[in-house]
Amino acid sequence: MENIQSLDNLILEMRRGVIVLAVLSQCEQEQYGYLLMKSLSEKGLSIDQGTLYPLLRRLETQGLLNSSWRLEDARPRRYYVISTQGRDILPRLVNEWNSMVAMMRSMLDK
Amino acid sequence: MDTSTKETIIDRYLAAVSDSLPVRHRKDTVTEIRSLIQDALDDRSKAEGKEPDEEMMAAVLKEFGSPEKIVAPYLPEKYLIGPQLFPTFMLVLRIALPIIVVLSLIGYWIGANISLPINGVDLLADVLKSLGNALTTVVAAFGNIVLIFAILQWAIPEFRVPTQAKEWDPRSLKPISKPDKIKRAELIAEIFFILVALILFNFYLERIGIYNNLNGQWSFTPILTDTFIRYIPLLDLLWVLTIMLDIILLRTGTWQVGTRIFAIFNNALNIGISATLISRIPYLYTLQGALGQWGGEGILRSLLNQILILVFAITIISSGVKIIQMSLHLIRARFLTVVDLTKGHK
Repeated sequence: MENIQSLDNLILEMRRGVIVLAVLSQCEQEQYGYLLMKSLSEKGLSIDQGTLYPLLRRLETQGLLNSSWRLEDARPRRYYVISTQGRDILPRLVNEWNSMVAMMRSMLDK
Repeated sequence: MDTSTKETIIDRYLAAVSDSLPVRHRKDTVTEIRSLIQDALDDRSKAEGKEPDEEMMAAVLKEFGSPEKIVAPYLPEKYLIGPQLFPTFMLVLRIALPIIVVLSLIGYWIGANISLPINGVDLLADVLKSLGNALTTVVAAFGNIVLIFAILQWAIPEFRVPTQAKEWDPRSLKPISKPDKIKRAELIAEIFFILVALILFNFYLERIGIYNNLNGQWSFTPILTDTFIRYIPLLDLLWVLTIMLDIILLRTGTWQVGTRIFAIFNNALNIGISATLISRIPYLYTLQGALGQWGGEGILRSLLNQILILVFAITIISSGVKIIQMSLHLIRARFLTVVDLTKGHK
C-alpha cells in the first residue's frame, strides 16, 4: 500500500514539472479556467482544479499570462492568454523540454 | 433553480474562502472561483441531465478541495519566525530561558522573608510560589523573545523569503576552527579551590572569624553574619554546578555546545549571586569585638567594603564577558552550519 502511495507521489511530482509548460502551450488562444482544465484533461493531463487555478494566477503575476474579465451569459469569466513575455519564453521552454526528453531517452534506453 | 435566493453550500464555501484571502485580492479571487465552480456545476448538470442540487454541488466542491486547500496557493508563505531565523531563535531560547529561570528564582528567594526557624509548610509554600514565579517569568520572556524575532522577521526583508544563494566563492570559506581546547591545569585548580570553599563554608563555618592573641590568650570572634549564611545554599549550588562542569570538561577535553550552554548558565548564576551580595556588603560580615585592642574598626570596614565591591564587580564583569564569549561561539557555530546547509546544495 505504502509503495503505491509513494509511487503516486513520485508521479505527481514529475507531472508538476510539466504543468507550466502545458498550460502556457494551451494559452495561445484565450481560455478561461474551466475550459482550460477540460482541454488539458482531454489531452491526457488531468490537473486538480485546486492546482490549476492558482497556477494561472501565479503565471499572471509572473507576467507570463495576461487576464481579462468578460461577461458571458450573465456570468463574469476570467480569460487568460499568453503575454508577450510568455510568448518569448515558451519556445525556449519547448527547446529545453525537447532536450530533456532526448537526454532521458538516451539515459533510459540502455 | 432556487440557488440565487437561498444560501447554498457554494455560498458557504466561498464565504470560507473569502475569509482566508488577503483583503486586496479577496473580491477578484472569490468572483473567479465562483465562476469556475459554476462552470464545473453547469458541466456536470449537463452531463447528468438534471438541475444542480445540493448533492451535485457537494461533489463539485469536493473536486475543488477544502477552502483552506484552494486558498493556500493564493497566499504568500507567511512566517512568524521563518526557517532562516528559527535556528537562532531556538539558540537564544536555550540560552536565555535557563538564565531567566535562575535569576527569577534568585530574585524570589532574596525578596522572600524567610523567618527562622524554618517551618516546613511555609517553606513548601515558598518553593511552590518561587517555581510559579519562575514559570510566569519564563512564559513572559518566551513571549518577548518571540515578539522580538517576529519583528526581525517582519522588518528585515532577507528573512522573509529564502535567500537566493548569492555569488559565492569557495575560497571565502573560513578555516575550520580548532576545537576549543580546555585548560586542564586551570580546571583542576578551580576544582581544588571550590572544594576548599565548599568544605570551609559548609563544615567549618563556625571557625571562620578572627583569631586574636591577647596576652598569650587566644580569642576568636566570628565575622560572618546570618545574612551571609542565608546565601550559602546558593553559593553551594553554584560551586557544585561549576565542579560538575569542570569534570565534564576534563572528560571531554574540548568545549562543546552543551558545555558552553552549561557555562553560560553558571556564569548567569554567578552574576545573580554576586549582584545580590554586592548590594548587601555591609550586612555580610561584622567586625564587632573582633579587633580587640587594635581598634580602628571604621577604617578597616570601609577598606574591606571597597575591596569586596571590587571583587564582586570583577566577578560580575568577567562572568558577563564569559557569557558574551560563549554566546558568540555558539552563534558563530550555528551560523556556520546554516551557511553549510543553505549553500551546500548549490
